[in-house]
Amino acid sequence: MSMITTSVAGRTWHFSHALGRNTAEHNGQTGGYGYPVDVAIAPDGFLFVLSKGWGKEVEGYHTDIYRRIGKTTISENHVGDFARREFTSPAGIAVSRDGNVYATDEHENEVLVFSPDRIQPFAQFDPSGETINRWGKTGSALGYLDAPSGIKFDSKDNLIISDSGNDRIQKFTKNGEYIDSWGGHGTSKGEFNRPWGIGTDRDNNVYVADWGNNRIQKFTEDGEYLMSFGASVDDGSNLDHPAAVAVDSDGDVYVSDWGNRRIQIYEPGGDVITALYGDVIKLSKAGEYLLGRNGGLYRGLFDTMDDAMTRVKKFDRPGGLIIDANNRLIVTDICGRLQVYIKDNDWIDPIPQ
Amino acid sequence: MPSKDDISLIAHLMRRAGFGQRRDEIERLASDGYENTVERLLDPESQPDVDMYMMGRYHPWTDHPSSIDHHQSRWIYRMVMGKRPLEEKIVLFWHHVFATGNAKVENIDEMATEIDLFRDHGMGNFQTLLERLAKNPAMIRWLDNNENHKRANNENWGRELLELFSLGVGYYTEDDVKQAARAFTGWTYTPRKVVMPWKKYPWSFDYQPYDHDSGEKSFLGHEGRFNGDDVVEVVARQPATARFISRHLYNFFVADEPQVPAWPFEPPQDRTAIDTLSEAFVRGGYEMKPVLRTLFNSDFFKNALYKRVKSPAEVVASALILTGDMNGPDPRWGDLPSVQSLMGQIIYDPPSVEGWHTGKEWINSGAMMNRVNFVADRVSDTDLPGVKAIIQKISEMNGSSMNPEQLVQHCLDQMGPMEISDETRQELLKQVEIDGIASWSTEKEYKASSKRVADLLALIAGTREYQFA
Repeated sequence: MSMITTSVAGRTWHFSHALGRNTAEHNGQTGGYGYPVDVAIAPDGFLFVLSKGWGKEVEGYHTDIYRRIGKTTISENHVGDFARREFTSPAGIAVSRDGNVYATDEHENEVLVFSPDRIQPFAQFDPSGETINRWGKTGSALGYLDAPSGIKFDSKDNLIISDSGNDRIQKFTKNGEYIDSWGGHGTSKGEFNRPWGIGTDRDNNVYVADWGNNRIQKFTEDGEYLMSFGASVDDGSNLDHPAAVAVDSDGDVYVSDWGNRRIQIYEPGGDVITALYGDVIKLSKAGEYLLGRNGGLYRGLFDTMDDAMTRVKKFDRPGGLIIDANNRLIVTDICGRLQVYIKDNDWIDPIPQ
Repeated sequence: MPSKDDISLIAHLMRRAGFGQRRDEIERLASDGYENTVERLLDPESQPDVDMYMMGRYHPWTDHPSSIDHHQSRWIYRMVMGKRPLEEKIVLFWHHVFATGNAKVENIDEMATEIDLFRDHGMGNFQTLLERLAKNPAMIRWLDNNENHKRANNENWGRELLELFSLGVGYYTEDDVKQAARAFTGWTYTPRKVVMPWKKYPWSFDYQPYDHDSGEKSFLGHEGRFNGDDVVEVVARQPATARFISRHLYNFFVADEPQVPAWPFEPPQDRTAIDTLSEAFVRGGYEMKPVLRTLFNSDFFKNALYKRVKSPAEVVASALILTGDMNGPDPRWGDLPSVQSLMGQIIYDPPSVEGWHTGKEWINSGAMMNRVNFVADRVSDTDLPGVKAIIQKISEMNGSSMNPEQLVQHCLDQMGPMEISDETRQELLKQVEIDGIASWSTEKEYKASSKRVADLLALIAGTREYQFA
């Protein structure tokens, strides 16, 4: 099988595969994601995918069944789902060192904490609640939250949160005790306009997707401004409302360029290297499962599958983005899926025969 | 400070040429002047477009919609949050006239493309709009022109084009319908009935020359080898078309007319107004802006306060704008389509090609209850910014206290200003008089009087008069 590769400046990214399928699930085992907006990876390698759902109550289930967290392996062995009926508007997700799952709710202004092992069968939920902790108070004073979105653990296992409505970054302990904050509304260095995703590098620097200002800002872990990039000139390196940012082990910076529907990749110094646009040309395991189960509905697809897949292969509103220990890039895509790329520093373009 | 009449007139204009406005904004516009406001409404590009990125970030299901209610939420968001009210109102107008329903089209993204067409061209040239409409895949499927073949005509589109989209019954013959249908043979869309993962294939207009009847046609007194564009050109320039569109404009923007099927038999309630609009339409080269300018600046418009029953779209959007509820990201945007449909209007899915029956037909016991509850729930919520502003304004009138008559009058003034019957006034007074004088001096009094205002606003929302725009 030929590989889909993007090879630039001594670096190569191979498209690997897609996960998920935006559809009703079956016994909680099909791995459907409804408008996934973020993904986090646990120390044991499991992925937790945060689905924002359809934004309304679904009759019969008393809740939006798509608004939830899915647990899967990167090779799409879907374990199951949890946190149905816990969120109003889930936004960001992170996993602590001890493996618990933390997620923000940007409408309720809360951080919800879940055990990673509690899976609920399809369409069920525990009326007594599934969280092991939840904290957060609405407001603009220090330590209060307004539309918290991006969430990330720092090197000390404290939480860095994009307090979007207050245009600032805040730090908390895992239990919600306020530690520090920086930022404020504006376009100057260190100021924000609806910040979203957060990334960190191996030197513990903090990168913020400054969504409304079309740029990434980089800070020390104490919030001291270092640099920004993305909003400079219209040379192909500029960003349109970036949603998330992550850094690989070489220091290359990946940005979910939400408005432009691509992943922009930058050198550590902020020079653009290349972009990825999405390469799903075959259905994921979950998609194949659906097709097999409901061939009648998708009968027309069989004749035109190649063309159909070509039309949907690209990212639409890429959101959450992480890099795993093997330099694999995992991106949530609003089309109910994740796309996985592998960075390959040893790749040599084959000589044409 | 603008006079009460100025404020009343601007409020009227904003209810009709938009979805209502908050009181402070109405006063600002009244200071700027009526004609200036009309001109600004007619120049939507002078105002920023709605920030759909905010909608997309917080409600991704509207950014990558997969069902009709996702698109509906998106459209309602535009009605409420938009700074170009007339542009959005015209979209709704054309959706009423060129009524197309997703129940048959079965491709909501293509329905949205048709609505976008109304947004892009709804205030432009009527002939251009009609030409593009004839090539719009949702419309082609809705009226079966994809089944209109050279050797087997389907007259659905040809008939409705003449009957409901331009001339109206009585101004064409059965033979004109047949000739029109021939002219549109071979106009179809591609690809047909194919689904992709996540959604339907996008459609595009497709002309199939081998399926087109290029023969000689005789249509409305014109002879030639007409194709669809030629037919649209002839149709757009018929005097009957000018009158038909003018009557639609009158019904939508000025005062309730009988339902469209009655138009061949019941003359317009204001023939002079229809004449004035028709003349402006023709004189302006079938451009929509001159005819709208004539309409909004006319005496017949200015004298038509509260002569139309609000459509459900207007009830929902105007209550949210007035109270400032959902003024940004809010998961409840997802609930609004079902709220609106319970009031009797499913946008993107009108009941038939005739569109919605308007006026009193909006009202039945179920719809009425939903209309009243939706508005009353909001105007009685003293935490909402628009309600707070109303209370603040009323508290500053008549010194530190007011009698029940004054309280009722101030609330009516802030909700419209509204005119009500003596009977309704007496009913409201009966309720307000229970608690006597309203005082605002102390914090405790302010709180108690605020609650009384909120309750009174909810009662006003339940009056017969509030159902009119």
